Amino acid sequence: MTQFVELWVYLSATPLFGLTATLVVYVVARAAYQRAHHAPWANPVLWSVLVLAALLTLSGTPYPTYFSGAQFIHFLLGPAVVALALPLWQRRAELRSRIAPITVAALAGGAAAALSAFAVGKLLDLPSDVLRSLVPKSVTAPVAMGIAQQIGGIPALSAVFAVLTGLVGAVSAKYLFDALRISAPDVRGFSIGTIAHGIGAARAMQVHPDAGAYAGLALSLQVVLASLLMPLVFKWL
Amino acid sequence: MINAHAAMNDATHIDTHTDTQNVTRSDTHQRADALAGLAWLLLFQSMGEVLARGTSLGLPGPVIGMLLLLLALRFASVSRAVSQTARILLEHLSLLFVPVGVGVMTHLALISQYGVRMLVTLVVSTWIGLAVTALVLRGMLKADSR
Repeated sequence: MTQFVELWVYLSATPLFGLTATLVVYVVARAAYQRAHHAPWANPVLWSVLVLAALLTLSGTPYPTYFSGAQFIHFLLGPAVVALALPLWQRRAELRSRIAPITVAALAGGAAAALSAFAVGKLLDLPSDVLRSLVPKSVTAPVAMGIAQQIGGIPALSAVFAVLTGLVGAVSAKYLFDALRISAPDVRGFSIGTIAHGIGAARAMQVHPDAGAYAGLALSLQVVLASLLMPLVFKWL
Repeated sequence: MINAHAAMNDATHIDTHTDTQNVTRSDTHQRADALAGLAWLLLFQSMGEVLARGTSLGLPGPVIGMLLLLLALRFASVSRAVSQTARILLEHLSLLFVPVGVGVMTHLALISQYGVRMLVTLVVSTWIGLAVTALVLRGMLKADSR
């Protein structure tokens, strides 16, 4: 028993642990998601985060120890943002023919999400640095961190808000769209990509190819628009 | 991948010799492509970081890298090298958010103090954002097609 404890103490302190735990838990969560026929509540990111956080808390492993291994996965967010050029390029013909509706919708939706978060948070008396961390939450996590830094938020908190927003969108968008009688896959996909970034787009790709393509396009567009405009607008608030 | 193909060929009793060789060759070629693709993506990200630091564009490095890649994708050699790696990365995009998401446990103090209010803010603003994007896009597409 003591040998086992020693072994655990040794293993849980190496980068191998964080990397292995993240991949294994995610692969299992994804299999469960497929079993549940892609039901929104079975979202694999949601369950991976919950299981890993519980695992770390119960075993008393500090987050930095976990992250020393998980950072190898986290690092890939950078090249993944660069890779977003691909969905834009592949859909360039559609983008060109629908440039006005798409740009206006992306601007309106992005602004509505950021400003309503700021307003509701202010109404609920949240502290200023939390408010400013909420603003870029509809932008994919690595970019949200950069924006938070520029507008006086806490980058690490922004990244968490971005992931949570992605989850809220991925889990609930279906019901919201059904209630609003929005059925066109391109409109649904574009909206979820604009507001729930990568996590929403991942969900859209599983539901419908058109929805997935438009979500990827929206996600890329939001990254550019938000990082250009948010620092300008929120400097004055 | 090689094993799967070989097994399939065995099972269907085709003359496997030349076929397996072909599969092997195209497979190594693809794998080299995936590696070259990652090199290209990292190169564009690095150029983006250099430009982000050297200029006052205000855009994050990876975003500049994405715009540079968008310009470069018109060259067949770049798009061929990048597309496979990009597809793999974007296919598994949601996995990449897990390490940051687990970071929620480091903010337990903030959550116990403001958790409900933060959640309400997140949910309400996400729904407002989704509804506004969808209604504006649908309205404008309808006006366009008239």
